Amino acid sequence: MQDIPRKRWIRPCTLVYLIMVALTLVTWGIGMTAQGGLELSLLVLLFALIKGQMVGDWFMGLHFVQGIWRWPIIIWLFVPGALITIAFILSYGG
Amino acid sequence: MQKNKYPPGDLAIWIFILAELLVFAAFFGAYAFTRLKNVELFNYYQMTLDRNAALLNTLALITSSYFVVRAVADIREDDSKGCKRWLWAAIAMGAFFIVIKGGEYAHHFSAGVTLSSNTFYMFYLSLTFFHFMHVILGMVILAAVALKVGRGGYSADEHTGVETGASYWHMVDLVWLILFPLIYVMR
Repeated sequence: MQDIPRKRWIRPCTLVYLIMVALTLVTWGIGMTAQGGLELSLLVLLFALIKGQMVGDWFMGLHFVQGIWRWPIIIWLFVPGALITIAFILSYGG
Repeated sequence: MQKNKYPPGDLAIWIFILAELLVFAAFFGAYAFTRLKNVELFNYYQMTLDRNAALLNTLALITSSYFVVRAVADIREDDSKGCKRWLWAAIAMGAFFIVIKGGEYAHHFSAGVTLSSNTFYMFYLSLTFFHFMHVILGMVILAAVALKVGRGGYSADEHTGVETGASYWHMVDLVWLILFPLIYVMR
C-alpha cells in the first residue's frame, strides 16, 4: 500500500481530533443541562455520526482509499443512525 | 494524488471489523426500538448514569485514537521509538477508560443493579460491557504491536501489523462515539 505523505495526513487528523473534542463537549453539555427532547437528541446523534465519519475517513485513512472500501463505514453509520432517528421520532409520537 | 486500492492494514482485520460493526449496529437498533416501548423507564434510569464519566471516557478514546494515528505516521517514517511511545500513550488512555468504566460498574453493582434489574440496565450493561471487552482486546493488540515495534519488528517498508492494530482500535473508538450519546444523552 502506498503511504500518505505525513503532512497530508497528520494536519487534518489533528484538526479532526480538535473538532471531535469540541463536539463531544457540546454533547456532554447538552446531556448535563438540557431536559432532553427530540431536536436535541437528533442533534447529538448528528454530532456522533459526523465524528464517526471523521474517524473512518481520517483516523482509519479511508479518505485515501478508492472504491468500495470507503462505503462500509458510511453505510454502518447511516443504518443505525436512521434506525435510531426513526425510533426517537416515533417515541415522540411522530 | 492516486488513492490506494485497499484500506490500511491486513484485509482480514477489515472483514473482522465489519462483522463487529454489524453486531453493534443490531444492538443499537434493538436499544432504540426497545426504548420506544419503555420511554419513561429508559429516560428515568438513564439519569442514574454518570455523564461526567462518559465524557472522560469519550475524550480518552478519541485521544487514544489520535495517538494511534501518530504512531502509524511515525512508523511510516521509520521512527520506531516515536511509534512505540505513541502506542504506549494510546494504551494508557485505554487503561484510563477501563478504570473509569470499572468505577461506573462498581457503583452500579454496589447499588444492586444487575442485568435483570430492568430493560434499560440490561441494555446498558450488556452493550457497554461488550464494548468494554473490545477495549481490553484492543489494548492487548496494541501492546503486542508496541512490543514488536520495540524489538524492531516493523519499519517504513513493512508495518502492516501496526496499521492492522490501529484499524481495530479505531473501530473500538467508532463504536463508543455512537454508544455515548445513545446511552447517556439522548432522551
